[in-house]
Amino acid sequence: MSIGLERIQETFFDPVILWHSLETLVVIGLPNTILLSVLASLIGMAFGLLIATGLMASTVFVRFPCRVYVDILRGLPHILTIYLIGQGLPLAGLSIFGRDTYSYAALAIGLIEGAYMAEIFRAGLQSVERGQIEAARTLGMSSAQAFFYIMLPQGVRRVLPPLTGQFILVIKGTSLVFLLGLTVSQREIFSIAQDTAINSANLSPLTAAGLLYLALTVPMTYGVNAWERRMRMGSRSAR
Amino acid sequence: MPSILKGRSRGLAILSCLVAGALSAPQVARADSALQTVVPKTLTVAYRTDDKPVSFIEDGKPAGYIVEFMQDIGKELGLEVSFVSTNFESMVPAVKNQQYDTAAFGVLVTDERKAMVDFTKPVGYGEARLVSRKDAAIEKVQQAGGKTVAITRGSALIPLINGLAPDVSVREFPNVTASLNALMAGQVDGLFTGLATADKLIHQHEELAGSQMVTSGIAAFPVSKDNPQLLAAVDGAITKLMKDGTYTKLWTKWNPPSVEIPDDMYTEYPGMPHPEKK
Repeated sequence: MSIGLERIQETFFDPVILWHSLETLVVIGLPNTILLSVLASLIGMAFGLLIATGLMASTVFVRFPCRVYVDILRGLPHILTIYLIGQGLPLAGLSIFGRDTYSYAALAIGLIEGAYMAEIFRAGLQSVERGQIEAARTLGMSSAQAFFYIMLPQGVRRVLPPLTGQFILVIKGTSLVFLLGLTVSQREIFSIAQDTAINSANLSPLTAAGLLYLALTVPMTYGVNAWERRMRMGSRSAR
Repeated sequence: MPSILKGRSRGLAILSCLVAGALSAPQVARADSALQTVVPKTLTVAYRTDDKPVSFIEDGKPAGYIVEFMQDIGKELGLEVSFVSTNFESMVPAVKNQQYDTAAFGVLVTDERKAMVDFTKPVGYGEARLVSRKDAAIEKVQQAGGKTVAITRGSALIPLINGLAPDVSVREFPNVTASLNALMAGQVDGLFTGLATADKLIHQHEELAGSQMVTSGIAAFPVSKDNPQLLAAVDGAITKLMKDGTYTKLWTKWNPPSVEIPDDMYTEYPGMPHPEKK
């Protein structure tokens, strides 16, 4: 084996260090990453849908603040937003979540993701043909009913693939929680990998973390795709 | 040549290199033309940009007492010093793989790290202080049990405080600014950091108080195991710079007066001058 390949193997794929770091990564890191991803995604989807409807509002007083929200949170570096919310709120005396790092981080990441998801949801909702809404209204549905029963289910279904991409970004984005300070048991996948890399003077723990991220994101992508396919077939057979 | 170098004292090693250099280039006292480095005639050094006053960036240039110390080592070896900024976790692996010759950072010597790279003679001993708010002061590090303490990620201070106060809850932050914000906002009870930084924070913020000083282990420069000549040459340079007062001078230049050179350093390098009392 060439000396170059040998160095790559020693630095990134040391089997002993890989194996040892996997245990902590799976036992402590994985549940924390999943917890934070789910919390942030839920907050992101809730804000995203709310802002998306705001972006489509007819009154400028609703549309304008929603537009500003999306522009600012998509444009600012994520690190700054997480510091502003996670450290800014407590510094201002608004310790709304006490000392719970994860709540601040979930809120911060959720608000950021909400801005991205708002644009995705808006595109999906607007892709539902106007004629369908008009037909629903003619049948006697209120505009809220038309939104919830006609526009929302179809609009969300159409944006599932880009939404999956966004979920992957959320999963990887959770590593930024380290900015707010983590105790040993609070560390998520990437923090553990970085700590272990520093102590073992070797980058193999980061490779182990990479494998875990893939184990989360790849099945999720295929799962959502299969689900989306089934729903599409379902809606076709119902026609 | 390597076997000769290994066996002899470091002063002799330098001398023999000087002789070798003088033979090949008689006019100039070029020390180590025989030294193998990553980039020929250059000492390529990894450094950190975020650890004032040890190693950081000032006016767009590497600065700090360890950075200047490394520049002096380069002069001793007759090599140009080139600084490359890195983060801490990739520093030792990169030196191991001979991406850099060494690092301008006192890396705490541990068994795990010794398995990866060789270490030079000590360039410092870790010294630290626990900073807390005066309204909830922690006077001794040993009293931190049951409290939450902010420490920079990956720091060698984490095992140190765990040993001194076993029930302490360590919360790792990416940098000292984030740790300080958390302390000010009451998100943590204390902040454990190197002596120079701790004293600077206490000086800047009158609502903060400090604990007693505690020491950790030996800090040294990492060098690849494949380059024993370079290790011997750097060791020789370090010993010379310790004894001729260069280190003492740099220490007083960069550290606040309250931060003193650890006693262990005087024991390690007999004859090393003390700073002048002001």
